[in-house]
Amino acid sequence: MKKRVMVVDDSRVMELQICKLLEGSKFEVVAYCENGEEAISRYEEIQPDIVTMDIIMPGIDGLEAAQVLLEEHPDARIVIVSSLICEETIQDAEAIGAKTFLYKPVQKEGLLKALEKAMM
Amino acid sequence: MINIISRERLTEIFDGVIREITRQVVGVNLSPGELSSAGERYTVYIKFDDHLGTGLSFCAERAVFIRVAQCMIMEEDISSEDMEAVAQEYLNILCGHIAARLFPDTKTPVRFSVPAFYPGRYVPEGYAEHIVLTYTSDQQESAQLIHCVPAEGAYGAAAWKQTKGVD
Repeated sequence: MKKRVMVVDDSRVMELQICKLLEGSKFEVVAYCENGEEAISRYEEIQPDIVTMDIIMPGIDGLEAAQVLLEEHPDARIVIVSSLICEETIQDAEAIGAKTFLYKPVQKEGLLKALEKAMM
Repeated sequence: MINIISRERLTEIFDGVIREITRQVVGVNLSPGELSSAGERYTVYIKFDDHLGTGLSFCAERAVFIRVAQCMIMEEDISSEDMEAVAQEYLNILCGHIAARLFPDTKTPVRFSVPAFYPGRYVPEGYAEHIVLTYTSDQQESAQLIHCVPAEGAYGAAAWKQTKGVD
């Protein structure tokens, strides 16, 4: 059975890209949320194995959304996906409890590695 | 704050990021060149989210935006909506990397707005062009990255000129 991925990003491009990159793998995209609020409200219904979370989005940012998700669902596996790769951001993501950090532009090998790491 | 960085350092960061990310996303090497007057051009523009009010325009021929979209979403047929959405995400990625490279100098995370897409070459009204980098691709397509600063005010072009040597 494929592992279920929920993509959270204000750009639909990321969902299209991640769907394509996961073709033929053991992961599949089952839901797309365009902001952090939507991710928080739909997590219970979707129950994904992994959430990929952008940082800069309208409304609450991805780090805040990840923090709320992890408070409500401590077993949530969150992969932060962003081009904002400064050390402070990575430390913030780790402090919140995100499983790993993936840089944009996303490439297949990096994505699969990050999802595998999140499942461990 | 971005205005504590010299024009040379900013130019180096912008140039390094656009070349590196374009090579990663599209597999294209950009070389310094001239902006072609041929073909339909578009601009995607983003504003840095600080009190300086500066922004970045990425202006290119339609063919460049189509190629970026084909590579990013791995589809041959690209609609105008896809082209626009990918252009916005592409500039977002560029700016994320630029913000990350600015951080060691600024010590303040630089955030930015949601990018906007415009037909033609776009620089916001009331803005001056602080840095302009022009490139040609391996297929002779042209593209330009423009750092825009307010023309007037405390952080306007005159202030940048005084402290940073704007031509």
